[in-house]
Amino acid sequence: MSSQNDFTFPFFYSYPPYFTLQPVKDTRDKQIALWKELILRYCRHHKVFVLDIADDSELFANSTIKRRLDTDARISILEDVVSSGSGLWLREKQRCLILWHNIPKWAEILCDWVKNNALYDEPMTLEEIVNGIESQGTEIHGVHMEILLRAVQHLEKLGRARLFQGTLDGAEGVKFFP
Amino acid sequence: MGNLMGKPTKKGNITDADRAMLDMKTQKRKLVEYNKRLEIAIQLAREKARGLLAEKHRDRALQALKQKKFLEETTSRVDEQITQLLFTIGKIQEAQQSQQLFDVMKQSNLALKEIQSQIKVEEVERLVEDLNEARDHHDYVNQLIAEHQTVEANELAEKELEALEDVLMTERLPTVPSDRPAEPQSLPDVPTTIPTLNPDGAEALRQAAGEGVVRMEEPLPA
Repeated sequence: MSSQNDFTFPFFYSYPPYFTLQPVKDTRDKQIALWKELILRYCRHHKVFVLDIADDSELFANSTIKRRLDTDARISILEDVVSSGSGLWLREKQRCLILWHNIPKWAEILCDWVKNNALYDEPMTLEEIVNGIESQGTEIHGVHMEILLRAVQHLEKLGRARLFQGTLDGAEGVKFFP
Repeated sequence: MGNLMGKPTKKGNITDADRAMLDMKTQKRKLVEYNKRLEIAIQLAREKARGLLAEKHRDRALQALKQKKFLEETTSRVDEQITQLLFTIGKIQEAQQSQQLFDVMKQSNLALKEIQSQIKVEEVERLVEDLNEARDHHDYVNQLIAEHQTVEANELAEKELEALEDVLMTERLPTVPSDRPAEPQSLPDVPTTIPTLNPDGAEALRQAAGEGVVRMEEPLPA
């Protein structure tokens, strides 16, 4: 995991008080905003799509200063992430999907990818979009299925995509239109 | 015909071919996953056979190797199926393209026929005839005008010639007075010989002759 070395944690990550939710509202708001910014940046850098509240990753726990966010703090921060449109609870207060791009932005990225690979009108499984060779080296590759699905649904509303089912189990497909 | 240039697939019709394609892609993925499982099983069978052989269970090791052989045959069969599926997917894609091309050609042929149907041959013949008549008429009128113009032009040319001649005449006439005064200038020399009869009055006579020249000059143009 050499890429982890590339990531620089902000200054507050080394200050113990930031790992405890502050009682004064103004201070707490600023604290949560800082954590939110860190979470989005961290997840984007490491391509982490889902954060588990119970997971003691380096994001929530700094082993160097022996401090960790407690469960309540993690929930409070993630609730703020969700309410600002940068996250979705996959399981309420347990597992959170992190959207470092919001859904319309993901839809735009998806659209550009379809255009650049001349994949209009091609019936594709959602699975092959995420894991197929066409998406390799792009942001689409390995994207969380929930994000892909929501991005496609967003494009469907704009008339630029159509979701459909095959006859086999798990055969969920999509066609994109110019 | 406006639809031809628009986006006919905007509504996003999902065809049976699309579903078939999706199913094949899904099936392909399942086969790839199946093969992955088989490869793990082959690996396990090999390790099992090695372990049994190490424990001197030769018969059971042989059994495990037979199982491994069977699994290997299965994977190669699955590989073939995957290749077959990919081949079929390619064929369907190609056929879809051909069909789209055919549809477009059919549509454009219809459009062409519709445009052609609006042009009736008899009407075109009549039109060409009319155009020919119009051209003949135009030519005749042009000819008449040209003839008229030549008559008129001749007259005009003659008039212009006359006018030019007049101009030349009047231009030549003023040269006449300029030539004649040269003669009177020489004339005054003549009387000088006559007054020699009276030398005393010669000076006065010369002066009078100067006046006399003028006097003599005047009646000449008349």
